[in-house]
Amino acid sequence: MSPERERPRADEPLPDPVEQRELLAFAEEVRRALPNPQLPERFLDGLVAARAPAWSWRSAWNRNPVLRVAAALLILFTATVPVLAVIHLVADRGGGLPPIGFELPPEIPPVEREEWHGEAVAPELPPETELLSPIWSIAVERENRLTQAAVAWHERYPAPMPLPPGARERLDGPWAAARAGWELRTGQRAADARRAAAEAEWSSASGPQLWSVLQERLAARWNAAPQPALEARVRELWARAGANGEDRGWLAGWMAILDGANAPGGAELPMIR
Amino acid sequence: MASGSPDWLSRYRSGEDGAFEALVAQLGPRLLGYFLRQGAQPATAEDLAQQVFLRLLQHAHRYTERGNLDAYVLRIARNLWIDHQRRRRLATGTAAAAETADPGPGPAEEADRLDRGEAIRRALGELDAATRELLELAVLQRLPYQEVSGILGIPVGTVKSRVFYSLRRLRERVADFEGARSTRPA
Repeated sequence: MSPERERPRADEPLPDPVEQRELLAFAEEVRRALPNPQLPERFLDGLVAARAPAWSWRSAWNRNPVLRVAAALLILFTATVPVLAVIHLVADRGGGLPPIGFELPPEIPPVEREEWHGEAVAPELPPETELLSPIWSIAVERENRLTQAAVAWHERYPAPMPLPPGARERLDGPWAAARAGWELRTGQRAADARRAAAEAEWSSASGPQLWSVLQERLAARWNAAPQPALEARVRELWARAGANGEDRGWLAGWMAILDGANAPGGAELPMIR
Repeated sequence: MASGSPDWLSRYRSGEDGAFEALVAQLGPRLLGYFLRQGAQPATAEDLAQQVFLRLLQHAHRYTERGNLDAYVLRIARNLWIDHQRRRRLATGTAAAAETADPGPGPAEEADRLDRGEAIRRALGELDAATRELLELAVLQRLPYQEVSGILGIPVGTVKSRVFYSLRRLRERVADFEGARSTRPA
């Protein structure tokens, strides 16, 4: 008989009282025969360990007052910023909109432009300097006049101008020096005054050559005082040329550099012949 | 078959010192015996008993003092055992009886060395699961018929008649074992 067939029906009649008492006594025997086992030693420990709650925000919140205070401060500070911003907006609404416009800049002081008027200031030499070296004083005066003349030269011929067609042929011969001055002014000829001064033999230089040397020095802005041999040649030719001689025109510039206001015709520097 | 056990769960809820340990000492052996007699291995029985306590403490607020704590605990244990059996069936695809300890040789072969207690244990193990559960609750756990009726979902009268019928069947099986031992030649 299978166990399912052994199951009693719902309306199974109760046994008689005698058998009931016997069965109840047998039940006591069954209980004695099948006692409950003892709990192992580790049972309670394992249960306590399993009961330990895992960390959670809720348990930490309930147990830790520091966490509650920190959370309250965080919420307070987080909420304070937008609340204060709204209060600030509401409080400033009565003040109206700020004016929008432009402010004129403060008055700008005029820029002082340093302009050179082409007038060299003669050095004022103290008396003791004159006592010490009159030759030095004269050299400085000549250098100053050369500087002034170079500035005037460049102001007068600022832009390069090419030589007109046929001009080169017309300026050959005795006009070669004039052609050199023209080419210096127009930039067609490079000024090499220092090299020319070093290589020159002043004792045989002609008036046009000296004029060309002066033009080169002015174009090169070389204001070194002329060497004594150059000065001597200029004065020698000037003395031989005579008062109205054609050659004096080539030398008038050098005489203005050398003697200044004391030169024949004054300090005016003839630029173009 | 009323229990009359002190209500240690209510005392535990009220924060009484040592109530938890007393609760475990009172119900732990009964739960362990319940699961072992239902066929669980010892380790499984301990694990299930611990789960009963955890679930009991987790839902302690639902328990009312007017209720029967033994019945309340055994209802939890029965549900856990059913869930365990269901999980095992899903995992192994075999019948739930697979975990039951090996019954060993048949009653006729082993009858000679069985005493009365062993004969009862052997006879109980051969009963079907429903009858074994009925005897477990009504006889071994001493639950009132009313509580057994609530747990198993059958009328009280049916519980009573089935208990007597099952005891009769068990007694006959035990007698069979003992008769087989006495008729076997020495």
